[in-house]
Amino acid sequence: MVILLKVEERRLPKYMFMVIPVVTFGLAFLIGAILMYWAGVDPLSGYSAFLEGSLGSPTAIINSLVRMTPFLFMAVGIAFSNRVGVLNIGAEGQYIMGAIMATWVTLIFQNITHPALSILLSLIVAAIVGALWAMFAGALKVYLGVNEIVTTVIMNWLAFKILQWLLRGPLKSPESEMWPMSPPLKAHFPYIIPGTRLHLGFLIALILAVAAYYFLFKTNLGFKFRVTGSSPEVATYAGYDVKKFVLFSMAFSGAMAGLAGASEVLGVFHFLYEGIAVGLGYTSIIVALVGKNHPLAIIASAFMFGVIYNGVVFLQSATGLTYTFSKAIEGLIYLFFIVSEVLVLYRIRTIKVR
Amino acid sequence: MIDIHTIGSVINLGIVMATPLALASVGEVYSERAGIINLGIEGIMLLGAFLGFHITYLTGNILLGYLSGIAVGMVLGLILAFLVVTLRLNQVIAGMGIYFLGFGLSDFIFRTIYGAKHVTIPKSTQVPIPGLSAIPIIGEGLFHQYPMVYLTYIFIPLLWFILYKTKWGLWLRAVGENPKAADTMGVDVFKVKYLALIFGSSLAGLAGAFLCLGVTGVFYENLTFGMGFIAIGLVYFGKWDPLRAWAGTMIFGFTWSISTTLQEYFIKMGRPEMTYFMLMLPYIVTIIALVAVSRGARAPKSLGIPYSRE
Repeated sequence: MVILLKVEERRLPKYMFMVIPVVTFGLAFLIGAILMYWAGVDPLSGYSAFLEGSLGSPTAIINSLVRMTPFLFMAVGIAFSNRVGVLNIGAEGQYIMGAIMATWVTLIFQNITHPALSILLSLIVAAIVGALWAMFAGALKVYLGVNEIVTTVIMNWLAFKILQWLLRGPLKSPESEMWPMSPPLKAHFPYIIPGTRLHLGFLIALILAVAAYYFLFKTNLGFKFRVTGSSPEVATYAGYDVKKFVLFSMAFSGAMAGLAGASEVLGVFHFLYEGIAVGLGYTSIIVALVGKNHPLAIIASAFMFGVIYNGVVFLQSATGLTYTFSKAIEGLIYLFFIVSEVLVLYRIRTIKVR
Repeated sequence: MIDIHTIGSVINLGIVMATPLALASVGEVYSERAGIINLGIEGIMLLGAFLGFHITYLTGNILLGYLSGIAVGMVLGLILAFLVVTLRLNQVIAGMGIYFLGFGLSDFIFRTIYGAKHVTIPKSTQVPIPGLSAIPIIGEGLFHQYPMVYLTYIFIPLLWFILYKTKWGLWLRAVGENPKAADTMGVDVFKVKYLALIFGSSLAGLAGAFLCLGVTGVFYENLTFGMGFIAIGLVYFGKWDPLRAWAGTMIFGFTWSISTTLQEYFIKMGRPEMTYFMLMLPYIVTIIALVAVSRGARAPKSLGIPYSRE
């Protein structure tokens, strides 16, 4: 006799969908507390430092908004390509390429043109190069059938090696001997609210998220894109140019990641160094998943992750727990999210088979 | 300049670098043959590397380190099998979950236990095979190796044999090609999928442990530098054949070995930044290799599709 599990869909009222993120974050933070306890940190004081630093004051909230900006850019792009049925896990590499190009263009133009023009040019070039970096993997998938997950990850590492090389070669600052970094960027983003770190990049990301929502859900072409992702057979039958859709979605996704890279160097760091590449592109995949691939919901989920990443900095200074805590937490969030989604949306019964 | 000894050591390092990739890749062949893409390999390797490191540090016994790498792989493989075989979750999404879990936990636990201090462990040592290791070039390259490398010499052809020439291999391939037919034949499809995934993941855990215990001797974050995903790519390169995938891992291993050897020349030339330029090569070559053979590759028919009995 064998015991099998049978998975059946449930009919649920709409508000039940809110249960999923609540359960997910609740469980993840609960396990986070256990991890803290194991690491010898009092979870209560840990989380209070965390909340104080990420949500406790207007400055804290603004810092969380700064932290969420790269997630918002990249997760909206990733969600866009997910909607068309391609998984872009190459955001990290496209982000690095965007950061490199923005730095390079700014270093060339900041002394010879108006800062605004220099910024505009760097954004355009970063978006184009990010798009091309992603489209290469998209083209390999569409025309040669090479799995895009594999190529994009390999290209992430390639981008990181390019970054390491450039920082020691062509983009090296003559003044930095020990620590490889680029010369400072003088033509950087203005701050939206004076006296805070909230920069122009946040506004751009927000506008693009709304634009992506409008395109996907309010236009005819956006509808076709979504059909291509949800039922490829229907799309082929309806005569959509699926290959072109895939390429375009990869390009958009890559452009968003490229802009994220530009926004980080022009808005936050004001120079280029290896520390820009800490895996934000991978985290953005989780952000997109939790935001259910919906650009407006992603604004909320990017904020959650901004809060986590900002809060962990304060957790670190208060308790000595390192930033790797956020990495552990986000892995848990991801797994709990996919599992709780199944448990909420489906009924699982055991059946006995002879 | 280039002498016989250099060529021998390039081959030696090439084989060493190919070994973790080969273990992970052949493990992935097994799970994909049962119809399951395991995208969590990189995470499993990282956690296997960490636990292998930690246990070896605590006990001083490398064998226990390897065994704990295997154990990590089995546990994560079981979790993934539960998610994708029983709960029938999307394999890509669930696999990425295993990646994130392994990546996040290995890093966090390592930092919490060891902090910023630099800890080294007794690395595995290379053992020459009497007689064979005396052959010029090849002897130094192939037969003056780590025990784990010798293991792959025997193990991977054996896995090829099992896959193509035995009843178990037939069942495995049947489950991947046409689970319904296999079920009718009396093969327990769910059990085969579970076992294939657990086995494949245990090889990934072992691969991670070897990367740490045989190659680096230390643990640091992202120690696998994308190897897990490259291993998945090499499954496509190898067209789901263990021996061909193994050959593919050699391409990456040798490119890596040649470019690290060339680094020394660049340092002598006073162009140290070029060493980083050289490190791009293995990734570029892997992409080219993937593109070159991708046409005509045919995946197991049920790859990525959850099986249900209705």
